[in-house]
Amino acid sequence: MNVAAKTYQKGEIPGVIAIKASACKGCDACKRHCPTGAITGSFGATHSVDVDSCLSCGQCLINCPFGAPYETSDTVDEVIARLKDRNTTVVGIIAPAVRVAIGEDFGLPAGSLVTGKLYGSMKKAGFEILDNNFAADLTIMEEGTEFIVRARHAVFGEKSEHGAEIGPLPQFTSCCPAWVRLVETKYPTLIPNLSSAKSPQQMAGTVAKTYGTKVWGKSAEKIYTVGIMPCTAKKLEASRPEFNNAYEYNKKNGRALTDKPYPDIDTVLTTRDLSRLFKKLKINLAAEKDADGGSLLADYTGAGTIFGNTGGVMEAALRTAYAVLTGEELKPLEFKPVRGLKGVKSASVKLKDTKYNKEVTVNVAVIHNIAENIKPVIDEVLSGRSPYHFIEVMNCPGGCINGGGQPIYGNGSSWLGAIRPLFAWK
Amino acid sequence: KMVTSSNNNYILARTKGLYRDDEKASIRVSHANKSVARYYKEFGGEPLGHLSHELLHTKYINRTKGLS
Repeated sequence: MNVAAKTYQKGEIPGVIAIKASACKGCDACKRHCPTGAITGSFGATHSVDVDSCLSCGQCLINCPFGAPYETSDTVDEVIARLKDRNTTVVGIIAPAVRVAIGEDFGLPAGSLVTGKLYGSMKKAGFEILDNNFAADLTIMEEGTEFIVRARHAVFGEKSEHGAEIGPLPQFTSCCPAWVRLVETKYPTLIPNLSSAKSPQQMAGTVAKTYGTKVWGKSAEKIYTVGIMPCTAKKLEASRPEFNNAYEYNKKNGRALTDKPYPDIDTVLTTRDLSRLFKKLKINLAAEKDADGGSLLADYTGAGTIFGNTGGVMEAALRTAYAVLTGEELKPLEFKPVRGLKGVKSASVKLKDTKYNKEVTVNVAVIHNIAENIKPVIDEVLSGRSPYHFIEVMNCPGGCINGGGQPIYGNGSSWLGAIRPLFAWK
Repeated sequence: KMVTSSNNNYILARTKGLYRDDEKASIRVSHANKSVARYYKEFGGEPLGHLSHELLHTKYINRTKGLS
């Protein structure tokens, strides 16, 4: 552990990304993809990562042409050992973005949607499945309701039913752990603006070890939860010591078998890690038969699955908030203004809050690729001039589908695209 | 300004894959997920309810002050 680290709680992984000195050529490609300037070392010299500035997003890792950045946490063999242990129920929690990327590691074209083959491969490996899209739907119920409470408090002065403190507007989404870490390390005055809803991964872990004990007929102590994520920062998120809500709940309710605490998420594999696990177990995902999820915890809606795209969380939240406020479904369901790769997308939705019989306008914004796009939006909020009520933020360009844990496209040569405009003939 | 053009091809392909998953879904709004409704009915109570606060929400930490 880096003894200089000052921004990590005890028990947390102090930075998921490190740079292998022997592989680094000092080319600076990584620096252009780092959202916080956390990579040090001059051009031509070996680079290293400042763990306190680093968000663990892994953008440097997927964009390095020499494969120098690596993950400090690799638990593929540990998960395989758990899968072989008949006394352990290993639950794989599959994020939305995994299903449109893992095929690339098995020779399928980019963007192939392989949910059925992924389920089949997981089952062959011995996993039970909790589709994180289920938890994404759950997140919308919590975060969408939270937004309605904050908005009605701000507009109509409505008080909390449960006497809880109501946070200010704009409400920021809280699914992206790199974004949450940016707020916690650089903009702590914005903490009250973050939705208090845990990320889908963390909700899923808690549900697996509470309600899931009924679904699978196993005690929480026998359930081993594996987040399967497009994201390196999810490894850090899962290691936050406060994320043992299931243990605390089970203990309080006399359902803990021992005094030994357990985390909600036992470990996290990136999409790349899962591909390696399948290959070690001689499972060829591309040739695998389709399977279904096997339990109600794998049921998900279209709103849950688009969480992996920039704008997807906002679109899913709007579909539900609109229905709750107006009593009617949003038509059409596709909310195009928040889709696409523009750096900052914004939209206004006029709707009638049937509870108050008043027209309201909800202004939303969606930011991705925070390295380039977050600063002006944050400055507006800090100065009290932000026109927005609800803001979605994802660290990575394009959202989780281009997360730091995804298959590396073109052998890490994506930096070539950046210099291409310098050549007149291309 | 957007990321490099060669990146955009695979980013857009994966993006389309998820929108396709949405389009072919029989249910496309979270509040109509019957299994989520069942979770609340059998166990979780209601969104933002007591148990939801305990299990599904969290607090954040000011990390600018030096934690260790």
